[in-house]
Amino acid sequence: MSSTVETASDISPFQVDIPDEALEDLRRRIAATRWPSKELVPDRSQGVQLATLQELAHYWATDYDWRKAEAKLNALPQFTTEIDGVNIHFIHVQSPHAHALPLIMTHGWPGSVVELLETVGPLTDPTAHGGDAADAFHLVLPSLPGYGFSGEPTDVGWELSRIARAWAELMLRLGYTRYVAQGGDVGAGVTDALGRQAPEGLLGIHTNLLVPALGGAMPTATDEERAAAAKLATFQQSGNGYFIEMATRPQTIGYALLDSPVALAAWMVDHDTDAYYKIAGAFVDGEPSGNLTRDHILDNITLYWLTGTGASAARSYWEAYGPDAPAAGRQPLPSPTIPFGFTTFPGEIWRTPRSWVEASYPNVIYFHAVDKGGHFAAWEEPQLFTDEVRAAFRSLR
Amino acid sequence: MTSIDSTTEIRSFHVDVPNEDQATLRRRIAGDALAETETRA
Repeated sequence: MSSTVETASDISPFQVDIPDEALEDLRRRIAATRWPSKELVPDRSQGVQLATLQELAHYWATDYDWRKAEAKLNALPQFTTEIDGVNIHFIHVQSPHAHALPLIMTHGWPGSVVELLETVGPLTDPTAHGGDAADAFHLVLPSLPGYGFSGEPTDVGWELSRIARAWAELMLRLGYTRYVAQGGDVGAGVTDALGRQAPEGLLGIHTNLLVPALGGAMPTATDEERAAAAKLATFQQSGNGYFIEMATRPQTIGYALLDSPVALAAWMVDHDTDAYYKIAGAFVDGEPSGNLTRDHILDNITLYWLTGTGASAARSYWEAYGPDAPAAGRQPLPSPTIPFGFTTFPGEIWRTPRSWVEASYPNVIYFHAVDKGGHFAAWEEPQLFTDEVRAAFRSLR
Repeated sequence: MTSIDSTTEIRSFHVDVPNEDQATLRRRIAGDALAETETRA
């Protein structure tokens, strides 16, 4: 390499290769778990239920096979490239259809690229999945800084806007001059920030979590709006313990997440009510919801375990939402004027009314309320999610 | 003796933790896969 600039923009191929010892250590630690007594209530109001975690741990230590997840990841073109001092891991699948639209799609917490894998085929090769070549995408799936196989930041300041700038640089580096972006959960935050920055070439964005609703008052004139506001209030009153802990003291919870696989699993399973009961159903009753199967759930948790990223992922909440972070109190850029699409899934923390979307974004080109799926929409219902992404961006091609 | 009497009994108590428990504690501390250094000094 002739210069540091060239070195820093290198894109290198990447393959997952976890040593056997790490998997043996994981199984040993699961077997050595010291369990709490059973919760005193018949529901999740005290947290992840003992029966759920014990079924999960039993399956994890006996039947679960990480090597299948590894093979699935390694069957896709994966790369790393250093952006703004952090090594970014990403999957990059180019469509066989030459006129495909480039799409950068971002996962959230407690997710990873694992939650998006089942959408890769339908999005990039629609004709092989019952779709139309005109809906094809070239797909870029980056791992957030501090998550999965991306490096973790070694300094502060990696809030959503900085990640968004890194994503714009990544797309530029890949040679994409016209592209769209999509995200859910933290990925929706990154995608929202990217839309506000409106880098050259970004044609539009689609999210499946209405980020502005988390930070400001929304209309409550109709029954639908009041129902959404009530759900959001319940989440902020009793459902966001994980959020507050990670936004204020990520290092503290990090010790448990790096040391105990069962602690990590409990922390990751205890997200929203809908997803929790679906995951519990997969392990306790053997009845997964859609693609949210035992193996897929454990692929994601195992990825966090093997990469040791529980603490660094938690810090992303401190950066994005914490009162002590450098970005705290900083006013977001004005609402994006580029085209915006939104899909509301019924199991999401709140069902977003169209009026909330229009109150948040001035240029809504697509809105759809679908009849199944939840917070992890791409993971749980990959075909439906794919249909939504195709429909949202169809007018921008 | 009635069941009410039984529940009001006061018994003496001594702590007696087996050595193995202490050895397990030390083993677990030694085996801790510590979180990386926090990003702020």
